[in-house]
Amino acid sequence: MRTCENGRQVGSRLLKEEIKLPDFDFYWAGDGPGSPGSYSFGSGDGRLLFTGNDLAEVYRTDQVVPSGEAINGVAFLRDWIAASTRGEVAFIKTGQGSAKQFDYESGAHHVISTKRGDFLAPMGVRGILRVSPGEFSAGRLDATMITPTDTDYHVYFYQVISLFHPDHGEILACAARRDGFVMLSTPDETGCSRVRRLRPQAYDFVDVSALDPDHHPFAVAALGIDCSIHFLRDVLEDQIAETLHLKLPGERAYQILCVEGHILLLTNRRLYVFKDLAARFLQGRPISENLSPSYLELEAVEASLTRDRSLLVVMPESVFRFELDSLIAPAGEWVSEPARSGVGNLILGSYDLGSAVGSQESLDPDASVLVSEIPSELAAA
Amino acid sequence: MSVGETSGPIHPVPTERSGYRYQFYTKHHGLDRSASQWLPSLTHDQEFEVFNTADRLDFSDEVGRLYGLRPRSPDGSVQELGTRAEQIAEFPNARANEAWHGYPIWPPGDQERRRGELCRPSETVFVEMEESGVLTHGERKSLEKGRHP
Repeated sequence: MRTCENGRQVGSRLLKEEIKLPDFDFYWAGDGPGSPGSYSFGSGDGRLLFTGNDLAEVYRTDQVVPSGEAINGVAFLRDWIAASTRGEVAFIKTGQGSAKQFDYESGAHHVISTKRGDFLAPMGVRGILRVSPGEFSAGRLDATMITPTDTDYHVYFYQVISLFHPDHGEILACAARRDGFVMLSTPDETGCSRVRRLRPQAYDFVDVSALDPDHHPFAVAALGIDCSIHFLRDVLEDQIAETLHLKLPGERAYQILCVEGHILLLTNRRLYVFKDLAARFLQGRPISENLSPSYLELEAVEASLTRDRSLLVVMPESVFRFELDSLIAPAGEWVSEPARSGVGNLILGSYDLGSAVGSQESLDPDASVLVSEIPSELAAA
Repeated sequence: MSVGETSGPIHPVPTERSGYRYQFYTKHHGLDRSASQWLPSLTHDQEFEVFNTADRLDFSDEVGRLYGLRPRSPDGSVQELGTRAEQIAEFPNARANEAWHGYPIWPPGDQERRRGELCRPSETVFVEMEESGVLTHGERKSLEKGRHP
């Protein structure tokens, strides 16, 4: 069943579509492999489904992971597909000839592809799995595990993004739960990386997002589970992070997504839209003043921005698609008064965060800690 | 490290349903930093209650391992029980007439891999937790994906 619904509120329009299928329990949603506007979805039993922009099914696979576990990440790189679960990461070569599959039998929190041409999968205390399918040959797939060389240096790799600049190489920015917000530089000739870490007491880092990859390649926002947002303009050079403490009682942060100068914050209860907040930070303007985000009340599982400027939100029973422009409409246009209005099963609102507090946190450089990349290889399944 | 070196006190009360005894392993209470650790703020009684509830509601996998959670926090969230923000504890089968023990575990499983074992709660366990009302469908999905609910 696919439904489309337009909710009009005081001059603004929130466009929501929903995909719900009786034989496909949606666990993951994101971009598809083709041009912008194609989507892919992962099921609770390890299958993939692909649709076009109209959310009409184009193709679905059988189980692509040996464990049959729920898909928690899908990424594409040329003719490769990577799919992660808490049991393994599967790398599938598609295209001409017979498909080949390689399975890394350790669970990951998700998997991404990078501008460098790799797949990265954070695996908790084990490290970050890096697989470079460009080096695929003779039926083997090379892989490395990025992990601290000092066994007393504990990092729980939970979420990772790749930041890239042609002159400075790649930086991995990692939300490492209570182990902090960790940044790893490109490995030197010995295979070791420099580590920087933001580890203020009592913070539990659950997500990280690039703020503006095109113009500020090393600017990020890290998210604390307490709905604190920690901004850095340059993860290589900044000594201090600017922190925004949002007072959202009873809410736990899930994800932070930055797009076109705006910030989307997903919690266990709501999706908040902070219009221009990332842009304000990057322009050096105050970030803790006049915060009045729009929000939707929804108990989502996960959200993903796509290249066609949509937001896919995995719900307990379905997936919602929102047009980004409709979400970023000025907050005042969603509702004219504090009173809230329902649009379908969504509640819209405008939140007064006048009491949000800004602060600064120092970075712990951890310069002496080395991270090595331990090679391994995957045999064809 | 042998069990003898890591075993600690035994809880004075057996579980309500099966009469299992429970032993607190020092390995998971600060002795071995490479092993997962119970939150220091969690009392022995609270840790035992996680086990007791797992047994009472029979949150077991196909080979009889038990899995438990803490009671929800006042704001309704699934509480953490481990120092790495783990929200589920695993209790591997004990031999007959021996005490059980347990430790925090992430759904992807960050324990050392053991031959032939999943090192993560099976889907069956999450289904049991949802059917008993301990988890919502959305929370089950998050945990099954290795995310915090």
